Formats: sequence, C-alpha cells, structure tokens
Amino acid sequence: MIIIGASAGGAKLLKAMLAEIPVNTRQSFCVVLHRSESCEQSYAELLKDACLLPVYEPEDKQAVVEGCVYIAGSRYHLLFENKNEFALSVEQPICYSRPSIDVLFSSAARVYRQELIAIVLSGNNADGSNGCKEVIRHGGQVWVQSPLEAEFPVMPSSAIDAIDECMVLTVEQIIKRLKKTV
Amino acid sequence: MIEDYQLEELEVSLVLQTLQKCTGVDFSDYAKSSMLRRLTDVKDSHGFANIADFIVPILHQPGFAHQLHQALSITATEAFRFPYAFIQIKEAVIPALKTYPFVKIWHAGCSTGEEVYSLAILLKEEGLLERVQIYATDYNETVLEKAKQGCFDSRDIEKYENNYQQSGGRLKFSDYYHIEGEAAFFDKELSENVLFSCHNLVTDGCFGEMHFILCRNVFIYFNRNLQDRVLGLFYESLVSRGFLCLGDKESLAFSELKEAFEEVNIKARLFRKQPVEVSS
Ligand SMILES: C[S@@+](CC[C@H](N)C(=O)[O-])C[C@H]1O[C@@H](n2cnc3c(N)ncnc32)[C@H](O)[C@@H]1O
Repeated sequence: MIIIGASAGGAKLLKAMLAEIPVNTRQSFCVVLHRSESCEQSYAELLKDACLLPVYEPEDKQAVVEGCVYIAGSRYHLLFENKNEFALSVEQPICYSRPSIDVLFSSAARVYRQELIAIVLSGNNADGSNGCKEVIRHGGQVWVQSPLEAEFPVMPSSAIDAIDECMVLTVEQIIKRLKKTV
Repeated sequence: MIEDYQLEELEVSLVLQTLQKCTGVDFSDYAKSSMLRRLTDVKDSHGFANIADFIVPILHQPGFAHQLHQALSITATEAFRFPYAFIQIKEAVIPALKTYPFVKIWHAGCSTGEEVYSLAILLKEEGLLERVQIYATDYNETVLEKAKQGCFDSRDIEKYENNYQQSGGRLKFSDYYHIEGEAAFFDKELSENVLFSCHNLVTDGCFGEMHFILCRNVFIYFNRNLQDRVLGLFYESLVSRGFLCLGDKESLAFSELKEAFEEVNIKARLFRKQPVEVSS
C-alpha cells in the first residue's frame, strides 16, 4: 500500500506521480489532499483524468482492492479498518483538516506495517508528521519531498523533523522509485 | 513474543471486555480503527502510559467506567450538516409527512442536537412543526444535556448560516437563535415538541410508529453486524412507507434488510420502507 499526503502545491505533483503508474499494478494508492470544504468538484473527479487507474472516494466500509487509487472525500477522516476495508469518522479536524493526513497514516501504519510506503508532498501545515512517526514505529517507509523543491515546504519539513529515518527526494526521484515498486 | 501492535489490540479488547462486564455497555461491534483512536486520546488525556491502564480504575474507581463509556463516543456535529440532504428532505419527505394528521420523527444518535434544531427549523418553515412529536436520543448523557439547552458555540454561526442558506432555508439562520456571551442558543419554540432521552441503539428496544427516522453518521462507527441489527430496529420502528435518512457516506449495502427499503434519493441517503407484503 502506498499512502500519500499533500496540501498546498500538492495537487499537481499528485497528478504527475499517478500519471506514471501502469494499469496493471498490484499496488494500491490512498491519498489525502487538503482542499477547501466549499470546493464543489469531488476529489475523485480531480484525479480521474490524470491517471490510468480507477479512482474512488471511499464510502463507509468500502472494500480495498489492488490496482486502485483511493482519495479521501471531503468532511470525513478516512481510515483503514483492516487490509480489506475502509472506515470513516467525523471526529474533530486535525490542523484544521478533515480529512487529515495524520489520521489516515496512523491507521495505515498499524494495518500494513512493513508493507507500507508513506509519501509527504508540498503543504503549508504540519498535518502528517505524527502519522509519519506511526509509520516508522510500525516498520513502514517514509519518503518526503525535498523542502528545497516543494512549493510550500512546511509539511515536508515537519515530517522530516518528526522522524529519524526517512528518504528526502525530489518528485522526479519519487516517481522513479515508485515505478520500481509497482 | 507478542508484537507491539498485537499487544495494543489485546489491550483494547481487554478494556472493552472489562467495561462490558462492569457496566453492560457493549462496544465489541464498533469499528476498531476509530475505537483505538478514541481510546488512545482518552488515555493521553488521563496521562496513562498504556491502554491497559484503564482496567484497574474501571474495576475499582466508582464512576470511572461510566465516564469512560461516555468519553468513547465521537460527537462532532453541526447544524444543517450536508445541506443537500435537507433540500431532499424538503422535496421528498415533507410532502408525504404533510398527509398525516400527526407525525413522529426520531433522531437516533442526535449528539448535541444541532441536527434536531435544523430539522425543526425546516419543519417550522413548512408549517409542520406544531403537528410533530420529535424524539431525539443518544446514549451519551453529556451531549443530551447540551442538546436540551440548545446551545452551540457562537464561533460556528458563520458556518451554520452558510449551511442553512445552502439547504434552501427561507429566512435567515439568525432568526432562530440568540446570543448570550460566548454561546448561542436556539429559540425555545423549536424544541417545544422535542423529547430528548437516553437510548442505546445496541441494547435498547424499538420506538413505535415513526414516520421518519434520521440516523446520520452513527453507522460509520458500527461494524456490519451491528449496522444490520440496528437497521432491523429501525425497520420495526417505522410505519409502512416511513422514511429513513443516513449520513452521506453510509449505506444499507451490508444489511440483509436492504431489500426492505427503496432508495428515494441515493446522494442524500434517503430511503423509504417498502410496503409490508400481506401474504394471502
Ligand atoms: C458523529 S455523532 C452524529 C451526530 C449527528 N447525527 C450528525 O450527523 O451530525 C454520532 C453520535 O452517535 C452516538 N452514538 C454512538 N453509538 C450509539 C449508540 N449505541 N446508541 C445511541 N447513540 C450512539 C454518539 O454518542 C454520538 O453523539
């Protein structure tokens, strides 16, 4: 499982990354992208045209299937209940965000353990850094976009500061590595 | 050697078992992912090192088990949450309700009441408020107390005003509350026909002869098994052709009873009980 957190400046990177993933991949992707709640277009619409894989906004208890992109819809936190099933929650926003990257990452960390890659992209707040700690604690990997490259470096920097072991990469390097794992 | 994450799961199940033995409340059919988050948060707020640290106070400290039980519910709510649902209620449910001389409505899992007052506003604007009896229930007594008072944080006003406008409100949201200090209070008139009471969907029985049941954003915390059971409870509680509204990401898909309901509007998660077949 590959989980991705992004905020300000992250949408276009996300599209660029997902565009490179071949349809026959056995990996799945799960994304939290911060956006304004009032945004009309659904999150899935945003990514659909950018990639070859099917894109879904999970509903309560939706099945987790390989070769798909899942993106957290607005107003709900997205969690993994287990390897087969998503869960949702309306608990309070974290860093003003619901969906929150921390919530997704923490639950994924526990469920996927060593089979997890967490990627943090450009963003203007610290959501995601607590989640990255959990990913590391459970044996997963964290890849962070280089703050030097990121349009908004706060999110990647906070993630790097929160953990001891992570890979700091340019988006180009992230894409290269992704292609090897899928 | 048992691994860290397995240990955590074991601790959660031991705590929930202890809680059940001591208070009778049963969280075993709740979604595990959010239960673990909730337990971890409450653990941190108590300054406990481990989730298992709940066990001794549950057993020996008077009142602790009850407090914990209440603290485990996720109660975040808002007025006119998901405004689209209110538009559809106005279009599809209200006209049907108007055909009855007297109407009974049940909000199951009403939390601090914002949803109850929102629907009351809609009913008032539709001229139905005098003809309804509303039951608003939750198992959490703390939120029920707040719901009775009808108070909400005045910092939320702008958001609620927005939601109200999007839901097709006819007037201004500010026509329905007044401010006292930091808090805002819904007009008392809105809750005259509302009965707030404690009811646990896991253990308590059905409410008779409802025309409309709203249970929004409660099923996301239940596993399939419990969803199915509670849906049975709603089925029993509804009149023939009664309406059911769920939260906007919830569904009937996991229930054996899904055939017993027809979809009225899927995006608004509005369903209607099929007429009961009379076997000849
Ligand atoms: C997230 S709130 C939803 C409030 C409101 N319906 C809304 O959609 O905004 C969920 C509520 O369900 C209540 N709840 C959870 N389990 C329950 C149960 N077994 N019986 C009754 N209420 C329950 C919680 O206490 C909480 O107040």
